[in-house]
Formats: sequence, structure tokens, C-alpha cells
Amino acid sequence: MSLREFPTNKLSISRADIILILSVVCAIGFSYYYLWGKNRTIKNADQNLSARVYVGKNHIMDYPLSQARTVDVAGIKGASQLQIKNHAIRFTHSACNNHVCVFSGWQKASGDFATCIPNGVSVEIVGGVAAYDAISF
Amino acid sequence: MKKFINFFFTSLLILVTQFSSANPDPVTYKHKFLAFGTYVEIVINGVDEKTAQSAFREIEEDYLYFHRTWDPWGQGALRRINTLFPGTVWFSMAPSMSDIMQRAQGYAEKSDHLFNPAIGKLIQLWGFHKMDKPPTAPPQASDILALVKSNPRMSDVETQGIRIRSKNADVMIDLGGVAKGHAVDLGIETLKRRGIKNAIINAGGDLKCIGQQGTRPWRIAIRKPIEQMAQLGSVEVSGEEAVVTSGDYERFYIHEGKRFHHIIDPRSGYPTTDTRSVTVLHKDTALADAAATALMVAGPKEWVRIAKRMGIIHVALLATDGQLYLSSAMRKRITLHETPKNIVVVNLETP
Repeated sequence: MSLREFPTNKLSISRADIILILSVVCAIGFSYYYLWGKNRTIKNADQNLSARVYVGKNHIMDYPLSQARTVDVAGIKGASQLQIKNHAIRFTHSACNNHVCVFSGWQKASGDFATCIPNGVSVEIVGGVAAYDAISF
Repeated sequence: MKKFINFFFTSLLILVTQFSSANPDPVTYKHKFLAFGTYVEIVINGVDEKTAQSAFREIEEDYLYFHRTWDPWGQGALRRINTLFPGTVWFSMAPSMSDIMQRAQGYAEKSDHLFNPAIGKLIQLWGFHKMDKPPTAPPQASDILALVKSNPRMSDVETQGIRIRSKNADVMIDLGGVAKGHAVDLGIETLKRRGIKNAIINAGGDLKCIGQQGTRPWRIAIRKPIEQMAQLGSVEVSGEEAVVTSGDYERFYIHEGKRFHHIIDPRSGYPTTDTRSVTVLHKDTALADAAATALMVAGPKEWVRIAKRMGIIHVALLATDGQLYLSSAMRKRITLHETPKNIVVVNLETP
């Protein structure tokens, strides 16, 4: 067998091959960042969010955060009032003495939770993907 | 051409694999209930729903029992201890009180009594024993001073097994600064005993993680007290670790425009003034809970000394003036959501 019968190891790469290789490497890199990166859940957090309202353990109603409105909820001691505005919700009034619930401010991200414990009214943001698994406060 | 086809299909395989396994979060079960005057949330993954629901039921029942037992103003075992204390005679406490009482005594000693569960009478005087105290005027200065002078401490409490007595008639035990943390530790032990390896128990912001969330660490936000409900930063936790925060925004009332919160400095008898919040990381949630309270009291001037005494190396302390104090170990762990203007980093790992 002569040497001519062995295949050569010479690698010929055209410009089109280089463009293809770079495109694929970029696609893999981008998809990895988009799918697995730290910011993935944060980017998705504002999608299709609703405010889930409870009195005690009873789920009363879900309200989409996309629609501004005022919600009156009958709690254990009296009425609590919630306001939805700019894709966020907050207690504006509650039948408690110290209004810690009102001072807890706007809830807007998936997993956010506010409660008026004396009046038994709670609101939790549901839908989307929570940026955090828990909040220490 | 063959190489081109191989390359194309290999790349395609990588992309398809990435997209098909793109959600690293496994099926997660959550349960929320009211105990210790706050909401407790349990998060579990890596097991079937039946296992998770069974664990939820056991922990909820346990926590409701702990709440009744450790409530100083309810009808349980701690109320009985407080009722019998002023006599200075020995009596038997419920065996279920023994462990948490010993822990509380140890943490008080370690914190130089800045964590002081013996000041129940001061808490009662301020009205913070009630869930929703009406915003009346603060107590009389003379009444506060009398209790401060009496100086009730956990070192006034003597125990021999389940036998207990107090040498100070003004000792009234309020375990509010350690009960949630201890309950979280016990709850996590329950989960581990049931073979659950990935979970969080969050008792009103005092939380502990085990394992992780699928293929990634647990992501824990730390609340920022100044801008309501914004986050000061976040930490990632893999394995067993507690994240505990104490702040002046959790329970308070406003009287004539002035805010009075529930963390009382036992040295002055008044709510602490120099610190907005303290976050502590530690493997022991009860210790982290006690330390967070002690460091709130210690404030910017004394937090380093107290943290070292208590063996705490991960601390974030936000002062009332906006200064953020971080231990160097915490600086490595925390992702701050804003670049703070005033930040002081202190190494707690040197003697």
C-alpha cells in the first residue's frame, strides 16, 4: 500500500464554517445564560402576577396586578382595604391598632407577602417566577 | 461534509439538552400557617406530595404546641413558671421547658446579657406582650427605671434538672428572642428524620435551609427596612444554615408622631435607637435568633464585641444613620442590591 492511499489530515475550514462555529458557540453561551443564569427568574418575575387574598386560611380571591382597583376585605375585626396600582398592591387601611400592615408598603414581586395578623387578612403575590425562595425580615 | 454534519448535530444536541432541562427548580411544596404571632412557611422539594404534606401536618401541630407552651402570657408551661417565680422557692417546670430555658440562659451569658429574656416585665410594661397594642403613651419613666434598677437577668434563674427558681422577684421570662429560632431548628430535625433533604422553614423571617433548590443554592433575600419591602441584599445558601434578621419595623406603635418598637434595651428600659436591622447567618437558628436581638441592642458601638463573644462571624448591621456594617465573612456572602455609600467591613475572625 502506498502512502497516497491514506487520508490526509489537512483541515480545510472555509469562512462559512467559521461563521457557523461562532454562531453555534454564541447560541450555546446565550442560551446557557438565559436559561441558567442568576437573573433568569428576576427577568420573568413581573409576568402574569396576581394578588391572592386570604382571610385566615381561606382563599378569598385572586386579583390581577395589571388592573388598578381598590379591594375591600372583611376581616376578623373589621374591614381591610387593599389598593392595586402600577402592578403592585398594598394595605391602605385595616381594622387594627398599629397598622404595621399599612407600613409594610407595596408588594409587587412573585412570593411577596403582607399580612394584617390582628385582622386575619393576608395578601400574597402569585404567578411568574419568584426571584427568591424566602425572605428574612 | 461529514465533520460539518457531526459538528452541527453535536451543537444541536447541546442546545436541546439545555432547553429541555432549563427549569432547574424541581416540584416544590409549600405550606403556610400562623404560629408564634407570625406566619410560618415551610418549603420542601425532592420528595413526593404525600411525604411533604405529612411533614407539614407534623410541624404545624408541633409549632402550635410550642406556641402554647412557650407563650409567657398564655395558659401554658412558661406562664406557670412566671407565675411561680416571685416566691424564690424551688418548683418543677414542665420537662418540655428545660431545653429552651438552658439555651436561653447560655445565650444570655454569651451576649453579656444584651439578649435578656428575663425582662418580661419591661416588655409587658411597654405593652408588647399584646399582638396589637393600642397606641397609648409610653410607660412612666419611674416604672421603667424601677425595673432597670432591679436588673432581672437569666443569671438570677437557677435550675437543677427540671427544678427551677428565681432569686430576683422581677424576673419574668419572655422567650420571644429565641423561641422562633429554636422551633425552626426542631422543625428542621423533624424534616431530616423523615428523610427530607431539601427544605426551608421560615418563621416570620427567621429561617433555616437544608440542601438546595434543585441544582442551585437557595436564594434568600434580606429585607431592607428603610424602603419598605425592598431588599437590602441576598445570600445563597447550600446545605444547613440559618438566616435570621431582627429589625425595628416588625412590631411597633406610633404615639404623637414618635415610633416605639418592640426590641427593648435592658440597660435603659427603652426601645433601641441606633440600629434599624441586624442579619446573622449561623448553623444554629436559635443562637442566630438570640444574636440578632443582642446585636440590635449592642448597636454600632458594641456589635463587634458581642458578635465575637457569641461566636458569630456573619453579620450585617444597618444603623439608623444609614451606615452599613458588615463582617468580612458576610461581605463575601452577601450580594447587595445597591452600592452603599457608607459601608464598614470588620473582620470578626481575629481574636
